Amino acid sequence: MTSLLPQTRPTRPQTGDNGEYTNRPLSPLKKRARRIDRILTYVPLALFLIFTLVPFYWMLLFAFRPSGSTSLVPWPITFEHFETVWNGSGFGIYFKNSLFVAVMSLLTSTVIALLGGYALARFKFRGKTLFLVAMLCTQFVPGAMMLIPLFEIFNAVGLTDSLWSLIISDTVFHLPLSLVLMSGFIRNVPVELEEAAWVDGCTRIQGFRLVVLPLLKPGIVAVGSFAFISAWNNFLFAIMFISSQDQFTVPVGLSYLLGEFGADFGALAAGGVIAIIPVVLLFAYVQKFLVQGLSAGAVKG
Amino acid sequence: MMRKNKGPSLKRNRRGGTLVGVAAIITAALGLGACGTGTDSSGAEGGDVVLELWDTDTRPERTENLKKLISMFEEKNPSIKVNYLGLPTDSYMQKISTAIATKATPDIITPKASDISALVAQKALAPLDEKFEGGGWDAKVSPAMTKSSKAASPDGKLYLTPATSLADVIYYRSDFFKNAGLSAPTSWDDFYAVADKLTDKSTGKFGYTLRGGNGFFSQFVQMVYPQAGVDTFFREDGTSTLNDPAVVAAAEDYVDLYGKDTAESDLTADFKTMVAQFGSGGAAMLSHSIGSYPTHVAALGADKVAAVAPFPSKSGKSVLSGRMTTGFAMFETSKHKEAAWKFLEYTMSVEGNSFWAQKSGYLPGNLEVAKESWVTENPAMQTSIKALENKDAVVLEQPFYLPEFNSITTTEMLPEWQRVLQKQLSVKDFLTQSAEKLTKAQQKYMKK
Repeated sequence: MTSLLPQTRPTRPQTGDNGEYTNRPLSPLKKRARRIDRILTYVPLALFLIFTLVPFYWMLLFAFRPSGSTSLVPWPITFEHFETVWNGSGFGIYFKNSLFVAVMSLLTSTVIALLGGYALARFKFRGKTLFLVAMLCTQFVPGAMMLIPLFEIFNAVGLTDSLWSLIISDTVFHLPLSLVLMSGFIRNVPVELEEAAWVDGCTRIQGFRLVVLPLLKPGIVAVGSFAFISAWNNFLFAIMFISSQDQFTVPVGLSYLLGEFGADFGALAAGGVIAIIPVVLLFAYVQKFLVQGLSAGAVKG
Repeated sequence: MMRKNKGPSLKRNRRGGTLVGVAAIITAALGLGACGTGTDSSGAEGGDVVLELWDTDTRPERTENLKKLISMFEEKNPSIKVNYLGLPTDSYMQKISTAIATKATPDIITPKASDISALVAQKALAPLDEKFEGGGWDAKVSPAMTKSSKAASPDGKLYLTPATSLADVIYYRSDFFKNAGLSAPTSWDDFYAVADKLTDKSTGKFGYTLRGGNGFFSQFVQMVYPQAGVDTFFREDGTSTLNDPAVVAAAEDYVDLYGKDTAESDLTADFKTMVAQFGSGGAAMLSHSIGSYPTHVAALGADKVAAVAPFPSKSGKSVLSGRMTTGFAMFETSKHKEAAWKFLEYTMSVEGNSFWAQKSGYLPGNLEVAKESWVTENPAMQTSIKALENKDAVVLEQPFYLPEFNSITTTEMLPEWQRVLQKQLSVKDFLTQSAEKLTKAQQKYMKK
């Protein structure tokens, strides 16, 4: 956005033969039009920002100011709520569990999506369209409907009360989207690149690893971060499949802070801050890949 | 061509290396997580019998208290171990339903009185009458609470131990009253007058906070029925008293508070909003159960919160609302019923009951415990117990035994109630149509 500024506000006016294409001082009329343009851009943006940021500010405010205070700035700053939540409510354990589940789901989702996506993009096999439609259809089934059958299955294989039940169910529920996304990314890598690698003596696996995989970074980041976030935020499976306190995850821990007869807003906000930290950090790191990833192939035929 | 291609491919190879590096870091983080979870799963076996207890109202302080209660019990009964599991208060029922469907229920649970009829309908809970009377608990525990506990079940049996109980009170900011030179209200007229006096819209201070959102019905009953002097939900023939002229008149007074002596935003206020408003000084009075007393004291300090019981009606009749038993229940599928009953007994015994009721801010069920100083010195509790001492006082039992009661008073009535507050529907029409629904449910129940 900042790179546009020199163009809109020329510092060294020049007059050329063809005046229309050079930087000249703008006529007052044009200046006004630009100003209106800018107002029309920034005012809605600012309004939108207020809507997005106020809840965050509310959360930070309640998390950092002492209970009972009604000030609008979190000063004097206090960490008592974090202390309560981390030690008193056991967020330390929940955080570790959530991290384990989310990272494992990310790994399994990405690996399976890479393998499956490659097959969908590069191979022709019988029933491929049917398979894709079936994948799409599974997205229509809400997770809540699967609870009892899933519970029975996990019970039969002895996986209830284990974090692995969450990893498996999160991966499975996320897989259709990951597969479709990933196969799209792979299809965008020209097959000729791979063929060139084969001509150079690579096997198919080597060709995939050395040529295709490095080009898939945006795809891997997009699929992986979606998998991470959906596993990190999953409340329903965590509450249903886990039946011991020290195996619960952060979303369940957060819901503890809302009782029937009482709500400690400070602790709730501190818990919220803890819960969003990994997601914010992740996005801060991956956002450049994500933008690449989402727009990749947009202009290619 | 070939050579040209090699360059970028080598470069990409290096990028592949960083990818592998990232994967290695992730795997390392994973190992850390795996170690943590691996050690947690062991060490459950201590005694001979292991009981599973699921709590349905998990909050940090309550969890701590319940765990202490469990360890006190385990000390007395070294052969029994109780595993605690806290479930979130807004989604526990789904977990329990799945557990019932998959036969994976725990031994003990802390259901709400309003859950009993749904659980009994699924034959999930074990009746406790025999054990209760056999142990002589009917003489040691408050008869009013036992009665109310039985009244919550569709077949009149005892499923929920009458360990503790809630009662409705009106909380008020004693500091506001003092500053304004007002004394605590003693009648309904007084209450409305005070609410008006303490309202100052220009500073955003209101006399009362009215529950317009989720869970509005309990506040509505608490304020309207005692004022109307109506002590039952249904008449003999099963028709609802909601459209009784006295109830309608009282409800009109109550609805008039909205917008006049309450914030406009109360239209959607649920419990959390009300507490936040009371705690921040936005409202001088709040109706709720004694269970929230510790929350108010934590937010404001004991010197700024006081409580009065809902007042007698104009005809002098004293109706007590919100006497909801909160106790423990046992699952029918429990394999250790004897051990589970021992725990249930402990929560009614002097030691267990005194600890649990005091820490949770509930009225104790055990008659000995009710005489202890922490009960007599708590203003909200004193108000509730004194109200019960009045011989003419009648406890208003809510029909939790009706399977439809919850859905009628929550999902069905809530949008209509909000229309009433917005003056789009008259109080009378609202109560007449709601009464019809409740009458239908009650008459269906009576036919069985």
